[in-house]
Amino acid sequence: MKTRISPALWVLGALAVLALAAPFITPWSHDTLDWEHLAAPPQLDASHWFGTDRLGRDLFARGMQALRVSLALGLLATLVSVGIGVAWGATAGYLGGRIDAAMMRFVDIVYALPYVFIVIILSTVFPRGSLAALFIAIGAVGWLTMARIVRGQTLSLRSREFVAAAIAGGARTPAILWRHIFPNVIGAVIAYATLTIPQVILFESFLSFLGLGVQEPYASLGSLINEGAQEMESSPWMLLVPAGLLTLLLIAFNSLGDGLRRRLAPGDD
Amino acid sequence: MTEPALLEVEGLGVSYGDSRAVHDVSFSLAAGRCLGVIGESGAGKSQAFLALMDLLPARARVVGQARLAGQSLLGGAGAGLRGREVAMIFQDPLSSLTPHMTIGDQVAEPLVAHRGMGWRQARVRAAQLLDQVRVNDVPRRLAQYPHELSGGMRQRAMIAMALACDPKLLIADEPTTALDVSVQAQLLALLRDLINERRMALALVTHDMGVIAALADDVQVMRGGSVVERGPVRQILERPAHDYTRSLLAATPRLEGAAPEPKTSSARVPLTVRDLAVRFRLPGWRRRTELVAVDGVSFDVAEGEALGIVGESGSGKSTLTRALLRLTQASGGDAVWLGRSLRELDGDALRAVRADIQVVFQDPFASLDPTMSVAECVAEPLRALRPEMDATARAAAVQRALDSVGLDASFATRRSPTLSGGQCQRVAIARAMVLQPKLLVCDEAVSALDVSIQAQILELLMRIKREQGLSLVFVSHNLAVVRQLCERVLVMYLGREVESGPTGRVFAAPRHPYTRMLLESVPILDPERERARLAALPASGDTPSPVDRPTGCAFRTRCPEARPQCAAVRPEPEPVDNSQRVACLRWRELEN
Repeated sequence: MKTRISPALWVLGALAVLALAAPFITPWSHDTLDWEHLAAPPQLDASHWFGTDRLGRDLFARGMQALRVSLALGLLATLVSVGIGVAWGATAGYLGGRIDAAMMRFVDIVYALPYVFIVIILSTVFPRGSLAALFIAIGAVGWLTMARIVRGQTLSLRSREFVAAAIAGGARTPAILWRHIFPNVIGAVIAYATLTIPQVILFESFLSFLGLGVQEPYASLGSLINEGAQEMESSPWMLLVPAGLLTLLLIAFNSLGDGLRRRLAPGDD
Repeated sequence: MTEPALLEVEGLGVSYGDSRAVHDVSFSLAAGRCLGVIGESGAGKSQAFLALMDLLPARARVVGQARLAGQSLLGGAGAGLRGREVAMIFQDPLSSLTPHMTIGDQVAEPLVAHRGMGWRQARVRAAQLLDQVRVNDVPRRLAQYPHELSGGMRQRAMIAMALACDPKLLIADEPTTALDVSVQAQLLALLRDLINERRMALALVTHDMGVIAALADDVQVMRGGSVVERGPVRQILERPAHDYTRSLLAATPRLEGAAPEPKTSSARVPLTVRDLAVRFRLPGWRRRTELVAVDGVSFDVAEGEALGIVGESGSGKSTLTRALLRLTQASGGDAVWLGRSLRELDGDALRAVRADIQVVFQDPFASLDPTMSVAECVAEPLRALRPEMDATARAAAVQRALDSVGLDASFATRRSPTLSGGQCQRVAIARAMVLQPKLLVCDEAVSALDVSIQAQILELLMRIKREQGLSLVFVSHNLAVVRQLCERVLVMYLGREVESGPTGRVFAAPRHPYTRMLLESVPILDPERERARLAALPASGDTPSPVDRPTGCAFRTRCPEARPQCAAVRPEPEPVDNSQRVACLRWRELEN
């Protein structure tokens, strides 16, 4: 089964361009109040294409701003988790033995911590709504799975004969990791990283939905959905716009990741 | 020859799009006879028989005619015949058996499926079948899972499954390729008996002339999808008409002939190994078991000489080389390289010694990093151990190394997945030789290659050895290859030395029953002598697991000469004369 990845790439590209260009397209900004259109449905006049919320803020502008937050956080947190996860997993898998056991038990312990509490604790340490706290919280969880995947791949690579030949050829451990292990796990890493992005986005939305994430006047897809859900019966667009954006984003990232995984890391199905 | 043909194939062709895998193959096969199909990888020999079994992928296009006892096999018509009238066995019995089912149930299954037997009755029949294929200890085997059996026992179980429905035709695709020579000989003898007893037809696909000599009545030689020569086995082996057949025969290593003579005793001895032992702890829940892979082995390697290490799988020969290369840490004894203990060296001192000792592994594809170009692979040891070299000098050294293994500059930028097995192995040798080492360790370096490629690589190794005064430690299960290349030989069994000495002497006058058994297991390229040999073959079992090695002499469980004292006393290697050693309590008695 071959999964096509180009539709997903087109959707993601269009969403990214739209999110970045939004301030130049719409006359509204995410925090301007339009007193003449409170809770207005989608309309062409007054340029409220996606309608407005209870306070008269334009949902297109807010939705795009939320998309920027989601994309930035998703990419950045994934990058960090890939960095830590690959280094951690490859080191543990390659060195093996006690070091491996200790490193992976640490991963298990962090896995076992209830991360919602960590986020709540972090949000008391950092100022409320700080993106840094959100970032640390997501990063702390994201690298764990990556470390496990990379460790597994490294374990199977380590027993391959080209690694033995490199050791016999006098290569040092860091050189072997850098020249043999990383290039051979990179396919799987890229594929799984692409699947991590939507997880991060979903996690952020979940935290913001609970009110632990991005704070007013900024919006994230999660906080928009939260607000929209309260007005679901009278003004359904307030829910449908952010929920639609989130769904589109997640489907695109997931199908891209799945396609890449099949292409770059076959045999893991 | 008056017997009507059981299987008739006419103009069989298999193609994938524009590429033809098999072209215009015709043959007939009578009951009670064996047709041997020989050729190298890519010759289309397996494809032809997979087409008869309808086991090819859907995109393969099959043309031609095939009839089994008058009934058409091709084009979906043969579906009812497969499994009942035609059965097939494959090279790798582990991947052909279902891991979660017991052997008994797997052999019984076709009886239930095709014969409508009940499970109880089918299991009884399965036990009989396993007994017929000479599986030992049948009641216990019935309840065992495939991973608990040795390779030879698994292949027997596969044959029992294939025989379950009394097929008229058995197709065997490289049935003994993955097995040790002694086990191979037993299986060939078994197949021969089955043909005679059951009047079954056997189609045998192989790359090994020895297997052909043992079993085939008629032979066809395939190359590039077409049959290049066919005839009775004597004619093919003794008077081959086609050049390709001749080259295949010439490339097949033989046991007959002189082995290289050891150098005079004045030669320098750079490598001295004394009582080297490697033990692994096996993780266990309650008690820890220890696996003794190498148990006190001693040998010397002289300058410019090759030492062959032979033995069956599980003899510890690969672990021994890994300990020499310090890829595994030895648990006892020592290997001394030019006065320095390899066991104690560490860090930079160890890396410096690595420049002297290089390695070539068995699997040509696994030993090259698929993400690197050929030039990068070969340059790697230089990068690590000759950091003072600049990029131009390094590129020149890489090119010299590639030249010396017969690869031109166009290969430098290619990646290993685009190379053939033989080319990969040349790159691996270039990588090993780029540092101009003094000792090259070859772990089954030619075992995975086709015979003609094998002959080329051996030729290459012999040339390098001659020109550069290189010493070799050459691990192989193929005694004929060792005879060609090595001045001295060390025979190992379950981690211990059983015999050692100059190759010519050991092979001409083996003192240890195990060495004798190994030598007797090597196929002879003469159908009559080979068949007489197989008929006289004593039934001897498989290598025991190194975890529970027999007391005393480890070989006594398979030894035809074993006496009660062999269980009590462990024989140590003792000198037969000034060059040959043997570890057997009874070798003097057995001389007479």
